[in-house]
Amino acid sequence: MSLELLVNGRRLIICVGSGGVGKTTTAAAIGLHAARVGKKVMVLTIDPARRLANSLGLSQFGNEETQIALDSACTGELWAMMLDTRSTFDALIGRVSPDEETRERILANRVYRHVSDSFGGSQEYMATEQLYELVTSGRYDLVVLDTPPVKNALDFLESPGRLVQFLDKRILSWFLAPYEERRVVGRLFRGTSAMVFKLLGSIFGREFLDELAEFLFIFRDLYDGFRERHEAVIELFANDSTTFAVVCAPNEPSVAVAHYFLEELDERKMPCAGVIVNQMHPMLGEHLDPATVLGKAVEDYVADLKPHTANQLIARLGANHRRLLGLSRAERSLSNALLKRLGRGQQMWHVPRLEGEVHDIEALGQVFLHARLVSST
Amino acid sequence: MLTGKGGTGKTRVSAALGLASGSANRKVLVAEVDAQRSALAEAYGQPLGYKPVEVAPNVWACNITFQPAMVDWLDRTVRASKIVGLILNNPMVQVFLDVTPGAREIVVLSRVVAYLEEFDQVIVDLPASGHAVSLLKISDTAHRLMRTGPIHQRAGEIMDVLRGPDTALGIVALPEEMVVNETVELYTRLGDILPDLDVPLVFLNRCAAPTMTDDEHKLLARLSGSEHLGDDARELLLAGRWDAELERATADSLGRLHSEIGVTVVPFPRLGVLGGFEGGPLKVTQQMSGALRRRMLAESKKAGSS
Repeated sequence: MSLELLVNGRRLIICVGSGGVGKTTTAAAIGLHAARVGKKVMVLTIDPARRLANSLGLSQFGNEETQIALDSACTGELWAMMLDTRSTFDALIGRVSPDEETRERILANRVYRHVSDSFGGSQEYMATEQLYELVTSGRYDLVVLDTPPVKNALDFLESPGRLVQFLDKRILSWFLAPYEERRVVGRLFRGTSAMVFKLLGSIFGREFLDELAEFLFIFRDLYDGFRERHEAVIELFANDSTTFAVVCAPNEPSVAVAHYFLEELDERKMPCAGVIVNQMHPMLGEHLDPATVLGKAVEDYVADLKPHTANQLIARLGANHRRLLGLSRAERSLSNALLKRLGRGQQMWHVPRLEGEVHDIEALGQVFLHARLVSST
Repeated sequence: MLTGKGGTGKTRVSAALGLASGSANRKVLVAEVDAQRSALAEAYGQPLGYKPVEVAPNVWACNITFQPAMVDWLDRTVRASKIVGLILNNPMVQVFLDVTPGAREIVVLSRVVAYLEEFDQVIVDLPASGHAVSLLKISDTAHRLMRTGPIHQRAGEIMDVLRGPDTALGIVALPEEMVVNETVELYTRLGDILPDLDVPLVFLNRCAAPTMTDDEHKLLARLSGSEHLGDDARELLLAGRWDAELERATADSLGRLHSEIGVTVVPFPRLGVLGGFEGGPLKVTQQMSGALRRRMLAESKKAGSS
């Protein structure tokens, strides 16, 4: 078992990677591993929770903290929870609103309803929000986050900043000046601003601009709350007890995304423990002749089978093995290229492909059982 | 338009479809929408930008990113370059566009719609399922939220194209239980939010037609249960079991896609090339495109003879 380097001393592990590489399963398997060595662990996933539920052998769970049953030998606890954008956003508004009236006005605003659903990265923003709550609550020794399959890879890191930037007082006051003075769009502006504002009105429609301004007007007072939270989240991400883990599969598109993630995290000075390469084919790396290897053994089992079955199967196994050897070599060269890219203190784990899909705790426990820590030599 | 769960290979399928579809009398564009890093460029083995480039005879490709699309959009909407510059250089406008629901998406999708005048066929490599649904839904949202003005109008145009008879959406899937689950779900969701959008096809990528006999399965199982075999033998048998699993998963997936959503399934055989990905990504795209071309030919022959 080689996960100690990833898990020890951490309070937060964030799994990132492109879609379809087994990120959710990996997050759950890391969580299970940590629970087995005595930690109280929360695995936080994105909507839909079905994927995580699937790998935990549950039919469904919601945005409540749910404990997963483990065998009695296990000294830790495993919990899971799904992220629900809307209710987190609503709760956040409740927390940063100075009074009940402000809260109600925001929640009822049409633009808010849309922004909380579809503001670029609002889901990612809420992920950081919920995450912060969980990590700082002290209820868990470790939180493992399965990140949303982001369209733009690190929206997840950027979106809180964008929301804060958007709520910046100077920007807001630019939009809101006419509302504060007369509540008439554009009238009082002179020069460039007036022109731009008028144009925006003609592009987006006056009516919408009015609603947006009302939304911003209410939001203005919440800026300090958002900014403080944003700073705290950034601090949490950069903390020593936090680490990112890049998850990928050994194919070209996925490895390309992994390279990209490593670079981006590096640029942002975010801590990254390294790369987990899933679904590696663990071939021994040599050509095998199935007739020689299996010819004798086969004879014991073919008495009641159709003639030629043995020859057919042997030919098939030979072809399959040759194909997998090729695949395995290609995978290794992709993984080596990634390995060269890793910096000091960063690791690479190879997780061999399992037989069958991971649908229960037992299978989940197998994921890292044969994982190997790969060194750069 | 193509979409599907992340990692199913939808970009590669879009790229292959483009190569297969372009011909002397059909000018085709394959477009990514607002991709931060172009996966399509990898599939074609050459850099791509906002402006379409010809990647094969009569096959063009591009990545419709927001910024230049916005310039195009303003050019067409405002029609005065001085004012366009004024808007684009204003820092507040950026923030405004970021927060206005759908502004970004409408601008990018408008460009897709505009390309329909220039090309005979436009193939759009949409983002993965969930994001694709939001992207398609947002035109409707913007259309309702902004009741007047150009955005309202453009969103309406996009909706008309999505609902039109010349538009179709294909879902790319893999022969895996969870991927099929998501495909069925995506299909249902699309039916709910865009009932007029035609979703006729699922591309089942990396699958294997069942060729193993029952007796081969039996023998493989018996050998796998034997306790007297060495590592080499085990490795060979493992290779066999993986293949058997893929054959079974392919049959299961085809069955489920037929019975649960009843669409036509276009299978792409897993590329069993020696050496895995040797020959580079473009080679894989070309091989997939060859498979599609053969299927298209066979279908047009069938249509011609009946």
